[in-house]
Parts: sequence; structure tokens; C-alpha cells
Amino acid sequence: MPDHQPDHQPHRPVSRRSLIAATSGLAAFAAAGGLAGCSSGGSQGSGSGENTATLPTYVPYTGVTPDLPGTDQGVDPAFRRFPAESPRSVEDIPGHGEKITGMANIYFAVPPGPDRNSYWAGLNERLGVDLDLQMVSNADYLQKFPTVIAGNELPDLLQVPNGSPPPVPNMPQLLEKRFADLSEHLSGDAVKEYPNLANIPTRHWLSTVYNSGIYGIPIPRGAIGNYHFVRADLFAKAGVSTEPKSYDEFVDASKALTDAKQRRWAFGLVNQPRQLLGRMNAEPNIWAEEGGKLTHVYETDQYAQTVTDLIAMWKSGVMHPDSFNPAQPFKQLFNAGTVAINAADGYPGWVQYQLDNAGNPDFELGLMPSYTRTSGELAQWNLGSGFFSITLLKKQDDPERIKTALRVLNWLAAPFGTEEYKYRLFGQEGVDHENDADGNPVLTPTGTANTVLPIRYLADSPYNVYVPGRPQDADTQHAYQSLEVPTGISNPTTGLYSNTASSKNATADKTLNDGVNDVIQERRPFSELKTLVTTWRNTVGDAMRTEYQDALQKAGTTAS
Amino acid sequence: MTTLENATIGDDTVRTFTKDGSRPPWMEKPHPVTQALKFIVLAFAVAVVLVPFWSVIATSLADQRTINAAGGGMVMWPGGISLDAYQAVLSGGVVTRAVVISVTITVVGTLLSLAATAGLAYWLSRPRAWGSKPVLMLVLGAVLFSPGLIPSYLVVKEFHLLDSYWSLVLPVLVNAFNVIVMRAFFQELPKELFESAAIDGVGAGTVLLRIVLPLSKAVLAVIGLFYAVAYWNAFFNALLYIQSSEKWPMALVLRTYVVNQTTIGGDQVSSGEALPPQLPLQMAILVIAIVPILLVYPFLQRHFAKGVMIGAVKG
Repeated sequence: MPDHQPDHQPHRPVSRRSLIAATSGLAAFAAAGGLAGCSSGGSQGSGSGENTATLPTYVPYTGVTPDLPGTDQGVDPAFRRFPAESPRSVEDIPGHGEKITGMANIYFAVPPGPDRNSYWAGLNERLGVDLDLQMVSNADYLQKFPTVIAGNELPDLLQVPNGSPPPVPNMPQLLEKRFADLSEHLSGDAVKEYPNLANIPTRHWLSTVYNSGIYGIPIPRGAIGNYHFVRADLFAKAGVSTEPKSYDEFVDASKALTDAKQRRWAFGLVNQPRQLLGRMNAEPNIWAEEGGKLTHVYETDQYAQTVTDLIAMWKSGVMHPDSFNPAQPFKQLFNAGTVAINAADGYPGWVQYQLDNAGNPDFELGLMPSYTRTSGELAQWNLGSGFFSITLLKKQDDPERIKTALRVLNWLAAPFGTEEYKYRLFGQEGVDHENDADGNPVLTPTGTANTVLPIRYLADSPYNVYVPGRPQDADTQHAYQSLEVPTGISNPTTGLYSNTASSKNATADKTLNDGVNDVIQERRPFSELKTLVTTWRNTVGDAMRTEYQDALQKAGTTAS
Repeated sequence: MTTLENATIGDDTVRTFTKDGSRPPWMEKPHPVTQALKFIVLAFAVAVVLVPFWSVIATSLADQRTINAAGGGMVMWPGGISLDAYQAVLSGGVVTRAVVISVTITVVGTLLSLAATAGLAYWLSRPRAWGSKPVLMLVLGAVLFSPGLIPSYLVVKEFHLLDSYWSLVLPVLVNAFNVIVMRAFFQELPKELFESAAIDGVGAGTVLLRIVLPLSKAVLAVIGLFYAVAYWNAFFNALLYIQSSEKWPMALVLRTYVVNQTTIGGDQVSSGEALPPQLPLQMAILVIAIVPILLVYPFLQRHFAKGVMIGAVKG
């Protein structure tokens, strides 16, 4: 363990246990100030079956001050405008002309290559490396990944497919064989060598721990996970509040928003009321832990209650008739005003919805808080996993190459508002972006095509709320996060690995959900819910439970 | 006496209309109701084919407001014509480059595939040709069994074809099913032709080039079209074997536009990321991708009706 004292907190190992507690909104830990939680278990334990590591010390970047500060619990800092000054966060050029290869998924149309893409060429110049990227569309990433592993054609930087846990069978064994353990470079204070990686809060690093080592860089995501987007203009038109404070008010509002003859419904996908009702009914965040024993949400009475509510809701006709189609274009329906509530969409969708509807003066985006069934109090919020994916570094014969790769990632993880960040997101002024009257960078058509390199899935800075040209949106979102994040509960298995979950759960989960969808549509009797859950438990549920409980034990989270 | 024009339907020559286009005297004039019903049925059939096409084109020209007015889906009338989607797709040169790559791969690949398939099929079609029996077994085996994803990848990798255009052609050079179809066609050629050629002392290669292939234009056109469409549409090989996005063919570029983004949820998008309105973009690129292969089709259609009958009724 490193000897240096972190500047801002007493020297204590940060363990899973204190972290999960601190981010879970348990009052005592939250009040104690978040990350510096004290731990009697955690990384101090010894023994062969352990899986603990000293996570990187968190040293927040202070070069740019947000208009509305974030919290340790995970409320994102918010900026009303793009900072006028863009300080440099990386002094030296990371590379010396080496070639660095990487592979990551891409959500966009593929950008032009470095010889015809001034943004890419400029990036290479700033990084001091020849960045050779393999881009794979996100829909195909899961198929491409195993071939790269099997062929052992590993790039220097490799994004693991998105998911918590990642959908990669036998991941610990794979990591041990092929990928570099970064502990000596990143554990504890060692990370200070890479200040922008040290700026990633400790909770995001949980998911990088395998085999008692740090095996990657997390792509951090906000604690809030999802927003409950609503069309505030449609709510106003229907004369209902966007904050239904009980089950009855919620049901009334959804009915008021629906007019099937006009092709208007409250919901476009079954998952949206399912998520809202789940919070209302106090479902656990996928798993609930008590004394080292795990219970899955499907096994709870709260879940059965949610399904009962959904049956009533489907019957009342407030869901789009095609709500059970997973390919339903729910974003387009929401933009078109066909559905008024879009409750299970990622928080970055805010910017997209505002951009899509810039030409629609009626459009007003709102966020719906979650209340419990009857008490009129805020319901608990299910926090996100805190990461999108992790970036692995290939084992190298020359340790210097690992350091170069980490320096490149450090550059790419530059915090919001810095010069590096501005270039990474918006490219060169005058070519890729222009500044508007308020100093917000706005991408040009060239920039839109050129800047979408998937480097953001190799390293990224922690999320910041910022909506170009709409300063008031920073306040709206920050207020919403400040309201909901303190009520948040974490999934106790976040950052833990279960082979069954990674390899078999997707299929079993789909079977269960197809069955439950039939129950909701009353094609099968409600009594079959039990059978479905039993089948799920026998196929994967019990195995996942055993593996996760074992992993919890090894990670020291359940030490008594 | 009325002279009759000949019309060709399949392999049969039938006599239908008189030279001046009027009905032969023994055929009755159709009833107007029958005529109308026929028209309705045919118009419906045409509409079923054309309306989706029209909708794709109209949506590709529509703006976000028109799409919103249509409830967020496909539009039938674009309102104002907006070429933004085409501009977005064609700027940056990625799509144009991909089209060039795809056209090259399709042309080169189809020619090579046809040559290889015709050669193999000819060999397998000749009775008593040396070694043709075991090879035929191999070909039939290939119809039934296909290699898995990872073995194919490893083979391509070991031949050092990764990131090479050849990886898009060589692994799929010969399609076993097409070989079987072509062999069946060759076997139906009159054997007297081969005998007379043999009497004249012509070698096997010359027989193939001078006799067999000129008589097989129909099957070559059909199999060629099969190959061309397959090369044009193939994205999965490129996804696996092509590492540099500079070398992506059209189908894979198309995929990044169409398949991605439709259902992004959760925490997937990063900060500051913004996607342009998707639907018109997707439709624009669909139009761009369909057009080349549509242009080829009419020229081959004549052979197509004949070609698909090959092997259907074999006496």
C-alpha cells in the first residue's frame, strides 16, 4: 500500500463496503461525508480467496468551477454555459510517435479516416501517437469481441462490451491471461501520476476489480442512471401535474394523457410504467442484500404488485398498442407527442430531445419525480451501475508501453471545460465548431461527421450536466438529481462478476419477461407468474445468487 | 389466314396475338367486370410493392416536423423537400468511398466467383472426370455444414487476410449451392455437342469456353446476380475481418446508420453527444444503397425467369 497521504482525506483504504454504503444514500454514511468511509473489512483482509484491491485515490480536478456543484453521492456538477477559459489539464504530450491501437463500439455513422479527417489528425498530434482505431457498430460489438479474443489479435486498448457485469464469459480468467493488471500504476496514490484518471470518483472504479487487481479504466456514468422524461406541454394541455404524488394520481394522469382516437398515449413501452411502478412499490435495485443473502427483484412481493398494477394499466388502454415490441421507436413517438411519458431513458437523452425539438415551440421537456404509493413521500431511486464499460490494456513486454497507453487515456479523460475536453468533443474552432454568442461551442457539419471517433469509449471524464444554449436546463436537471439521488439505493452486486449472469442470464431473462408480458396482457393467468419465476430461478437465478454471494464474501463487502 | 406472332414463356413458344395486336378470332372479348377486377387486383399488387418504396423516398426527404406530424413514423408526403439527410450522408466522403469499394468488390468478386463456380461445375458435370466423385461429396457437404464464426476468423487470420479486401472475396468465392445449380444446367446440355467436339479433337478447356459457356448465358446471368447481390449486401464478413473503417464496404456503413441508435437507452450516450434526426438519414442511405443493385436488375431480368427454372423439372 502506498505511503503517501492523500491531500484531502485521512489515509484509509477505500473498500467496496464503505463505497456501496456511501453511495446508497444511507443517512449515516452520507452524512459522514461520502468516500472516506471507514472500514473494518475490505482490503485489509488476507487469505487466498480474496478479491480486493486498493482503489485509486480520488483527487478532484479544480481547474474549472461548475455553476452548481456535484455531490459525493453522485449528483452531477452542472454548467449553465461552457466555461469561458479552457485551462490545460495535461502538460506534456503523452506519446512519442508510437502507434497505439484500440477497439471500441460506435453509435454513429463511421467518421472519415485520419488522412481525410483533420480532427483525427489533430488528435494524433495532440496525443503524440498514431491512434489506430477499430470501430465496430454497437449492434455488432458482442459478436466481434469474441473473435478478437479468440484470434488473439488484441489491440493495445480494448473496450469490454457494455453491461454490468460485462457479457463476457470467464472474464477473470481471460483478464489474467491476456490483459495487464494496472494496480501498480493506479492503486491508491499511484494514480496521481495520471491526474485526469484520478479525477474519476472512486465508486466508478469498483467495476474494474478482478483477481484482486485493477484491470481497466472505467467509462464513468452518472449515478442517476435514468431520467423520467415527460412532455410537460402535453401534461399542461391535459390539465394534470407532472408530479403525481400517489398511485391514484399517477393512474389518473396517465388516463388524462391518453386519447387513443387522437393516437395519444401515456406510455410507449411497457418498461416505462414498469420502472415507475417498481419505484412506487419499493422494488429492490435488481438485488437486495441482507446479511450476505441476496434476493432478486423477481422473487419479491413488490414485483408481483408491479405486475398486478401493469395488468390494470394495460387494460385501461394508456399504453401504446405496440408497447411490447422491443423495437418500438420510443424516442420518435416521444418527439412526435404520440406518447407523453418516456420514463426509462438514459439521462444524456436530455440534450438529444432538446436538439430534436429545437424547431417545435410547443415542446417542453420535464422530469417526473417518483413518489410512493400512498404516503406522499419520495420513493427510492434505483441508482445506475456508474459505468458504461471498462477499457482493458493488453499485456505488454515493455512496461513503458503501458505507461504511454495510460498517458493517452489520461489525456482522453480530461475533465469538462478543459482545453483537451473541448478538443475531444468539439474539435478545432472554425473547422469543427463555431462558438455562439454565449461562448457555447456548436459543431459544424464537418465537426459532426469528424468528431464521432469512439475514443469516448476508451476513456471519458465524469459526467457533467450541460445543455448548449439552454442555461436554465442545468438548473432543472441539477434540482431533479439533487431531489432523487439522495433517495437512491445501489445494486449490491455492482462491480461483482458472476459467470452465469454474464453468459446465460440474457436468454433466461428474456424468457421470463416474454412470459410476464403475456401475463400483463392477460394471455396467461396471473398464477403463472410464480411458475415463470421458478423456472428462471432454476435456470439462472439460484446460480447467480450463489456466485454473487461468494463474490460479495471475497470482496469483503459482507464482512461482519 | 391470320399470321400469329410467337411469344416465349419459359422454354415454350406459344402463339398468342396476331401481328396487329388484336385478338385471334377464337378468343372472346373479356367482360368489363372481369377486366375491372383484374385491374383492381393488379393495381393492388403494384401498390403493395411501390408504396413502401415511395414511403422510403418521401421520408428521406422529410424534415423533423413532418415526421412529428406523422406521429413519429414514416411519412407518405414529405411536405417541404429537404435534402439535409442526403447532404449529411454524403458529406465527409465516407459513403461515397464505401460505394466505390462496394462496387469494386461486387464486380471483381462476381467475376471471380463466376469463373470459379463455372469451372468447378463443369468439372463435376462431366461423366467420368477424374476425381469428380469425392469432390462432389465435398461440395454437397458444404451445402449442409458451414464453419463456425471463430474457426472462419482463425482461418482468415492465419492466411494473413485480416484487414485485406480479399477477406471479403476469397472465403465466399464459391457457393456450393450455386455450383449444384450450374452443374445441373451443364448436365442438360445435349451430349451430342460434346461428342462432335471430341471427334473434332477439341480439348476440354475449349469446349467449356466455346461451347458450354455461350450456351449457358441464362444460368451465368442468374448465378452472377446471386453472387452480386450477396457481395453487395454482405456486411458480416467485413465486420469481422476488416479492421480499418476506411475499408468498410457500403453495407457495413449502412448498418452503422440504420441499426444503431434506434433504441439507445440507459447510460449509453456520453456527454455532449448529439445525434441528428435519425429517420430521414436512415431512409436516405437506404435509397443510396438500393439504387445500384436496382439498376442492374432490369438488364438481367430476361434471363432470370428462365434461370430460376433450372433444375426445377428435370427429366
